[in-house]
Amino acid sequence: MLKVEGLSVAYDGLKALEGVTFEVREGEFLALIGSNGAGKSTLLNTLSGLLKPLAGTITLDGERIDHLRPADIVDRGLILIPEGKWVFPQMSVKENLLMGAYPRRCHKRQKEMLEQVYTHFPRLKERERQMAHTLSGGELQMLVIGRGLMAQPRLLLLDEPSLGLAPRLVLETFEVLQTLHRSLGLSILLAEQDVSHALRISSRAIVLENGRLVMTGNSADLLTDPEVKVRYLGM
Amino acid sequence: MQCSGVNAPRCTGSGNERIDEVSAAALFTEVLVRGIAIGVVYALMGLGLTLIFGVMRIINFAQGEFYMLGAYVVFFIMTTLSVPFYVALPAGMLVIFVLGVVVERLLLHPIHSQRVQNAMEYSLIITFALSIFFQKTAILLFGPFYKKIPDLLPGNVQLGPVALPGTLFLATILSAFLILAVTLFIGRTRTGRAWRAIAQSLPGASISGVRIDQQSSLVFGLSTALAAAGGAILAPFTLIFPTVGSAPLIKGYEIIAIGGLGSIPGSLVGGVILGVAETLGSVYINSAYKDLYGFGLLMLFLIFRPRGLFGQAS
Repeated sequence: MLKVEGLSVAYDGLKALEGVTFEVREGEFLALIGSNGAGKSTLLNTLSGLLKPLAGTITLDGERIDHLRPADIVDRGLILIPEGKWVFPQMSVKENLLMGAYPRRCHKRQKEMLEQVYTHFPRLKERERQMAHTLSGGELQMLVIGRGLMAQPRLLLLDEPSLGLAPRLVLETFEVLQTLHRSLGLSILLAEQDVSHALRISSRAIVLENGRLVMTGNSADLLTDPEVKVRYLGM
Repeated sequence: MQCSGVNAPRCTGSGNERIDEVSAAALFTEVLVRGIAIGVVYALMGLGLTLIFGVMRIINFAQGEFYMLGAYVVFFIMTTLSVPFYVALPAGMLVIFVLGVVVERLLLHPIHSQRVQNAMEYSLIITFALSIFFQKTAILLFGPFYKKIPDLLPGNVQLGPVALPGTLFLATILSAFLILAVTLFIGRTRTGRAWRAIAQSLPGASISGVRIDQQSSLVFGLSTALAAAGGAILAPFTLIFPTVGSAPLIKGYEIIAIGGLGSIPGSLVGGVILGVAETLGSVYINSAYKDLYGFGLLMLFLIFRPRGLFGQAS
């Protein structure tokens, strides 16, 4: 579905990614693992068109998308969910969600999607009329995930959805992701620092270190990999 | 002014004092109403600048020239096609809207790409140059002589105790209508929501599928059309000449400094405050310094509340 080949990206004049190559298969749940500053956000931002690569190609369903603008990439169903930020603070929760359904192709099913989001996150329904800047960190995470779902994604890019969440909320969030993945057949690329959780719910994983891809494999195998254990699972 | 019963202790004096007090109060009311009326027209100018700053994060130094061009275009539509003002005004706004969109596309487009490092500096220089260009072009095309749009509504309009010049009354109504229309558009429509989204989080709007460059062109076009409307609406008072836009530009920036940069309610309240301050100052201090009162207000705000009334603390 998504093919990334030899991707290099500079950020603030520094090379943040170098020669990254991987693919997300149709309907796959792929985890992107790496410590803080490994280049996970840079990778996701580049895939969604916010950053332009220095070299390499990004292909979605056989079409080059690396030169496209963010809106064109959103139109193709590749949706980024940033880590609880980039919300619209002076808009109500509902308006924030409706912004997710901004692309023309989303208008028809806008109401239906809103109901769906509220079913996944009843908390957002409760706070429907509240301004987004009054939400807690966990609620903001739900809001950006909900906004992303409003865009009827085919491939969802998630940037650290667990960051700053209470452990119970982390579980809830991951459960919602798993449900979406299974019931809607959504392809997911999940960037996470919470490696043990990420490896448990994903089928495959790639590991980024200092902007380079250092490992690729089945999540189950990586969970037992001695190096991963030492580096990321603290065992 | 009513003066009766026990609640009117000031009425107990001699007949002459009473008349003085009543007329002083009546004068104050009249000045206040006039100030508010002119303030609503000012608010229209503040609104245009606020939209551009809020969505595009740039300062438009050529806004006054769109004001000037709007006045000329409406004047020429009225005189050559001999249509009434209320037909020429929307037509003129449309012309300037298109001009604004073209200017944004041609000259300001680079700020949306990563080629321009500092959008603010770039746009300051571009719009400053544009302002000079439009002024000189206006001298070349229209000559240095004053043009006048005839009074829209001759005579006075009686509003309760206050008599307002008909043209000022109509100018206020038209401005209020335009402000209402624009704020409803921003508050209620999908496009308006996208503009607010850009103003509140640019990357958030991008990844929601908003085409920033397209929306910026629309915003710039609308803002310049609002400036044009302001120019045409005030033309019966100020006359029309190539540099007529300089004062409104300064007033516009006084307004958004008072109201708070990027705040729509701020631009409305700021406009009314400026209008009232100018009128009060002109009547009670000296009308020769009319343009000074705004500056005084601006300085007070810059010293004591630099973010303005509705501005976000940074």
